[in-house]
Amino acid sequence: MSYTSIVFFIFVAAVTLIYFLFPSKKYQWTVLLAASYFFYCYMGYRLVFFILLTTVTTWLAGMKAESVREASAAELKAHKGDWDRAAKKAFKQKTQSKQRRLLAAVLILNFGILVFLKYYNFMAGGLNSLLGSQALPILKLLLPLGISFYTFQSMGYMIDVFRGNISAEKNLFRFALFISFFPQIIQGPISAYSQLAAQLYEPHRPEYLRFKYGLELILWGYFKKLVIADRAVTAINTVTADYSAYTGTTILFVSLLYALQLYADFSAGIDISRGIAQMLGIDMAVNFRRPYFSRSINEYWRRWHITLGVWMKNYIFYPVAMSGLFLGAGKRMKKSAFGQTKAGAHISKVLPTSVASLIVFLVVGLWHGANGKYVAFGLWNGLIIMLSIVLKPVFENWITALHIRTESFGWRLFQMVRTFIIVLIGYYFDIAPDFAGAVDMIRRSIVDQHLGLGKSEILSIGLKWSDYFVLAVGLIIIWIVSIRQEKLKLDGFGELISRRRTVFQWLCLFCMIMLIIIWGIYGPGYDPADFVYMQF
Amino acid sequence: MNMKIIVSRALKILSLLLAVVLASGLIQAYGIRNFHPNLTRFDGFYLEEKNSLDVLVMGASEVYEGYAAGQAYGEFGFTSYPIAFDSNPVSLWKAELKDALKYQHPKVLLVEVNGATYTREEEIYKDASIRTFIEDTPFSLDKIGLLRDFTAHEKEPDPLYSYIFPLTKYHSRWDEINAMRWGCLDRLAMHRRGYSLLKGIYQHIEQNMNRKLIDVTNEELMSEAPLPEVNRRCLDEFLDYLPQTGIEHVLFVRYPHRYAGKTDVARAQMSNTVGKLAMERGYDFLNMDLCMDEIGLDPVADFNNKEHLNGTGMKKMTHFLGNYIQEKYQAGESQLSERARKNWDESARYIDLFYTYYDLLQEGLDTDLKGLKETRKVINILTKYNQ
Repeated sequence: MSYTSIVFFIFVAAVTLIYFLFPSKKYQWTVLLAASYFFYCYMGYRLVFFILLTTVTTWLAGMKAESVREASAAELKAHKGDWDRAAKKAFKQKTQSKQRRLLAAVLILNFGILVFLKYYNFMAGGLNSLLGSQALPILKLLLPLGISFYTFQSMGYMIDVFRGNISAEKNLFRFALFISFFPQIIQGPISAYSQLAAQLYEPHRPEYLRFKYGLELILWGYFKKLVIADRAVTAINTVTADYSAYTGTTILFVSLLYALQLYADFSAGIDISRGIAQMLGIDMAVNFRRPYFSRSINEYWRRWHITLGVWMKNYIFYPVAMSGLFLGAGKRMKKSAFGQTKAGAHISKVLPTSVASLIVFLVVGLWHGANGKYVAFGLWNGLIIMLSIVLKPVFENWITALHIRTESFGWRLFQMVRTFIIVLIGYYFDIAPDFAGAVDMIRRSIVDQHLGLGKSEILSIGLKWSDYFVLAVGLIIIWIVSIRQEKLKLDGFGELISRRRTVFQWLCLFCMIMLIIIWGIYGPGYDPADFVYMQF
Repeated sequence: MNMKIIVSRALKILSLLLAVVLASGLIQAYGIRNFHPNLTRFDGFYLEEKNSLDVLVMGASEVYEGYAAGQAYGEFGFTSYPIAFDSNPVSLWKAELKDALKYQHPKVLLVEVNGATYTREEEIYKDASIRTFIEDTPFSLDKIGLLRDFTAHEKEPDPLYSYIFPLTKYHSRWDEINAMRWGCLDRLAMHRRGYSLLKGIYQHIEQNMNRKLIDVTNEELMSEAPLPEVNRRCLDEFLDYLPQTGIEHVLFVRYPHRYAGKTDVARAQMSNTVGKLAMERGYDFLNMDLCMDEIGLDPVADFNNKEHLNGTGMKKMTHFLGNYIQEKYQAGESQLSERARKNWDESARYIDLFYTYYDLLQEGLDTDLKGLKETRKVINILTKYNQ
């Protein structure tokens, strides 16, 4: 049931109708649960076991962690007068260690499943080639739909319960809905329990504005997906299947096209998901904020796949950066002779955060897939961020020395272009067959420029001039919408056009629908392309 | 909630939906569409005054490249129309006739039999054929069953909705709008006029005899070959249906062909089998392959290719066939309204103009002729399209 199929439209319409007509408002959420599991099973019922396992184990562990915490609090209260400080501390440590063991068990089990299913063959292949044998067999493993997304979401919940940030969900079925909510299962966003859960369970009534904005967001998503992303993907697949047959000009062109396609595809999927949820009365987390307007790679990751970034920040970055090991290393460096120098003082100060960033991006890379190129993708981003933190004083000195007005348009534009180039280099690791391929593609994009030949090649990679015309128009529309959203600090599409006169709003919707009908990649003769992030 | 707000919102939504439906409908009807004169031909048929046709001509491309209804009217006084399209298979004949009889009740039905001689099943259940029939004729629910029959023969059939809403199939051809322009303008002009001037004819200027022709004896052309099982079943269904139509005279014909190989000869022989089966049911059969001299056809100069007559061949053929129909069935009895008669008179006059222009083009003279409207476009465009 792809997002672009008639069956999906019927499914969403039916769910919306049943949801709002459901007689018991208290149990309205059960409609969403049933719909989510129907959707999941429809997409592949054979692997439903895995999401059930994650749901049940996380729910049980959450309950247990909370009961341990509550029992501990009760015990402490009961012995308020009896226990001295040392006894209390010992008891707390014992409780914490119990909770930690529980947390570790759940994390190992669930991340273990993810790692095994997603990375086993990658690791086995690597080890086999390292040892020069076939010691580890290569298995035919099927990846359950959305496993990366629901594992991260459920483990985020578990850590939050462990930290005492949220209360554990008492109802298994309600928790199952939080994990399986159908609009988010394919490609996120990775929602925090505190942000999403309450909305899922509370009753909702149909609201005109929510419907309008939701539908407009869905429409905007379909425009990006069907008109832009699914059109561009033909050329990208053609060239990346055998990049050595093309000039560097074409490779560079296709990498730029990929930047457009990936953004259009991923943000479209999220918009459709958020639009559906919005109609149902649920506000899902924003996952994109015009990432190509970023002025630094740090900012880019705060605007691109925001919920993954937040997850990484909360559950990896902070624990790593604030760990005794990292803080201690920073302190030790500060006390050393090097730490007494100006540069050393700065480096020892930023060491924990910069190394933690590198680790985070290594994980981000691995999250994207089991391949050396994704590791390189993560390392590339991590290293750039690490360097930007470490070399910050140097850059600031240059800016001062060159009298650069940091808020001038020219400087901001330079920063955006610079950031985009860094991001684009990272994309080469995405589209290349492997790490060596990515490096070769980058090299060729720089040294193998043949404008004339590239021009003729560009017309032989599955797209006609008319397709490029559509892509150009699509790009301009996205650009205009993004600029307006950026200026008005708005995330929705409906909210943006609702600021205009009524006639303009409806004309806009009419044009959008007609553009999708005429320019959309759909119907017989087309294989609808899966969302790129569905594979992750 | 305020009733005024509810009404206002409902009106806005309805207006948007209506605008989308209207715009899509217009684009589907006149814009992005399978570009082929079949659409114009069918449109022309449905523009004919109800029950005003004396003769209905059915078949494949042989018919619309070898029969001019306007000429037949001018010479013999009966009204006729070809409901034909390229590669029209026997599997669709019954449905086509059933559909046509909702609008017309002709005295004579003429069936060109080539569509019953296609030897491969994928020709009998060809997607392009069912698409032409479903998309170019008014939709009715009884066509769904037929559609299912056809798509059941496809390995990867298109979804049913794409036949009912062809825009979902052809929307990606928006960039061919320039090529579709003339077809679209012709149809718009025809709809504004209210009738078809050319009655669905289609012609080429260039000859395309790309294969070496062989000589075939009359004995070979007169012998019979068995029909494939599917063809036989479909033909029987059609023959079974004919008595229910109330059509007085049914004439099965084999149009003149040229021969380039054994397959062509086998088709001619299968045509004789169709003719024999039709005659067993009491219908007439005329093999015009055997009447080339009588028609006055030049085996080289009057053909575009081995299956189709050119403009001069069409003129001779229409004269011969019209005369045959009129003499044998006295077809010209229609009680036409004043308006319809005027239109048919105009069509008869216009076909003369068409032939004049065709001759000029054949001589390489692309001259402006006074009063020439769609003919010029039709020939030019079709010539270009067939290159």
